[in-house]
Amino acid sequence: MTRQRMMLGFGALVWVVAIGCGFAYLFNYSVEAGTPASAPERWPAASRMQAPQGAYTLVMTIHPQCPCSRASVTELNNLMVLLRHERVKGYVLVVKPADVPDGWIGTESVRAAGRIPGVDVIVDADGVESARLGAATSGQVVLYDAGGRLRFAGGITPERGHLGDSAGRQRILSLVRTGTADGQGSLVFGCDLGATICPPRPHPGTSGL
Amino acid sequence: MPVRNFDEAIIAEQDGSETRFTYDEFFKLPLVKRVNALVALKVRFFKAGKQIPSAEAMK
Amino acid sequence: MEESVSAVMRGLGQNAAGRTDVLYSEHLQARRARADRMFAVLMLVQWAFAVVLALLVSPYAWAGKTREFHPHLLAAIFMGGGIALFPVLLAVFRPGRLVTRHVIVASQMLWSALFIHLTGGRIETHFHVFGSLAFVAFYFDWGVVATGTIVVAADHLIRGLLYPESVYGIPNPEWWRFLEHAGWVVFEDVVLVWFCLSGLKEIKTIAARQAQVESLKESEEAKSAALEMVLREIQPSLAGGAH
Repeated sequence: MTRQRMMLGFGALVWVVAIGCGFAYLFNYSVEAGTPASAPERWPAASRMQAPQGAYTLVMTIHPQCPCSRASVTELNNLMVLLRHERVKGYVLVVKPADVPDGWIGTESVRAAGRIPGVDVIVDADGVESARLGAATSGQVVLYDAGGRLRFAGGITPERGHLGDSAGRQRILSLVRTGTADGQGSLVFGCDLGATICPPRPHPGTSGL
Repeated sequence: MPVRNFDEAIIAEQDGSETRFTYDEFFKLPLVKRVNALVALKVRFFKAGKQIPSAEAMK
Repeated sequence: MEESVSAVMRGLGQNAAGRTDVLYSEHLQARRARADRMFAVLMLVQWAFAVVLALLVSPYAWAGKTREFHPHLLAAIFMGGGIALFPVLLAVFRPGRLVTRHVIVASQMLWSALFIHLTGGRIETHFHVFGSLAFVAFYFDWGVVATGTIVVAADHLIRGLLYPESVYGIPNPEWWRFLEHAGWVVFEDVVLVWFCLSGLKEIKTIAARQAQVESLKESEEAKSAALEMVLREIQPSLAGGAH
């Protein structure tokens, strides 16, 4: 076999492997959901954020360095635009470990969050607030109604780091507009918040104190 | 003495065969036959084994 | 008996037709080999761009304070290189061949899929799909337009079956939703196929004209040669008559 044919044969094999294994790997990564939140059923009384009063409260937790946060924040922006005529108050909790410099949270996703109308950005030192809401994955969204009851806990992106409509967005819109939805959760796609949360996350079923 | 611009001429006959002529043999053919072969592009000229254009051969 | 003039001209016409086919094939082959080389360069440029993009958009994946190289960066480097290698080799060693352009076109559409992954499904990145299909028309081969379309359709179909939310953004798309996506691609395909067919006609016309010019030139040269020969032969008798 000539050297040319060997090179072409090698190239063909690499091509097939790159396509088959590569797209399978990317696909599996993009649909691999993160750990869901164990959000308390009632708004945590100890929270620094204002308790829901006559309006829905939507809180998104993000890891500032996670690339997937960018898509989550963009989708939050889209969602808040769609909800602009509804009574919804939004927060973005930016998790910051105690031992990292301030610049660690100076990322584009945090800046983008600050530009969303109707949303306040809160630096969550040591992930305390996020822990109260049971968040484990960047991009986690929780929605509490005017009475402080949990109505939704999940993500609002269709895949990891991907923009687009999602089951989460549809359910939140339905809940706020009509009070009902076909589900109260959705998959969350993002990086693990991991050791940024201190103290440890509460066990599911607690009242979130 | 005219310059010999080609060594060999090959004429494609009507029956599909080809006939080879040296320089001298070609010019011994009737003028009409030579003119028809040229105009109908039925003759090829060669010099040192390489085909050359008719115009160059007839200079 | 010498041939009549009309028979001679008919013969010349047949020769020109054969020469037209030869010139047409040469022009088309040269065009397709040029397109192969252009795509080979484009493959390498896209590979470099994919790596830069991954470095800028998603260099690391995080778990708390620890980080590791993001799967997108690894995909850009290894998968991107793998997608580019075979088309480049084919363009270098087998330019103008049918299999070369089909592999190139399939790879180009796969680049669209990879870029869409790397940019998190940005709407703007989807422009790469439609831009690439248009590039494919350089080949003047509607078959490769079909290949490109099939690759896009296969990607949609496979992901739509495995995870419809990744294609349509919602888990339960309407049954006709895929037609909406397909419709836009078909819309572009219809124009591109027409472009390919009319491009081929144009090359054929150019080849026919070139063959005709060559034939006329050859014919005129032959007539000049014949005239020169006749003049040389009758010159002595003309000179004798003048005296």
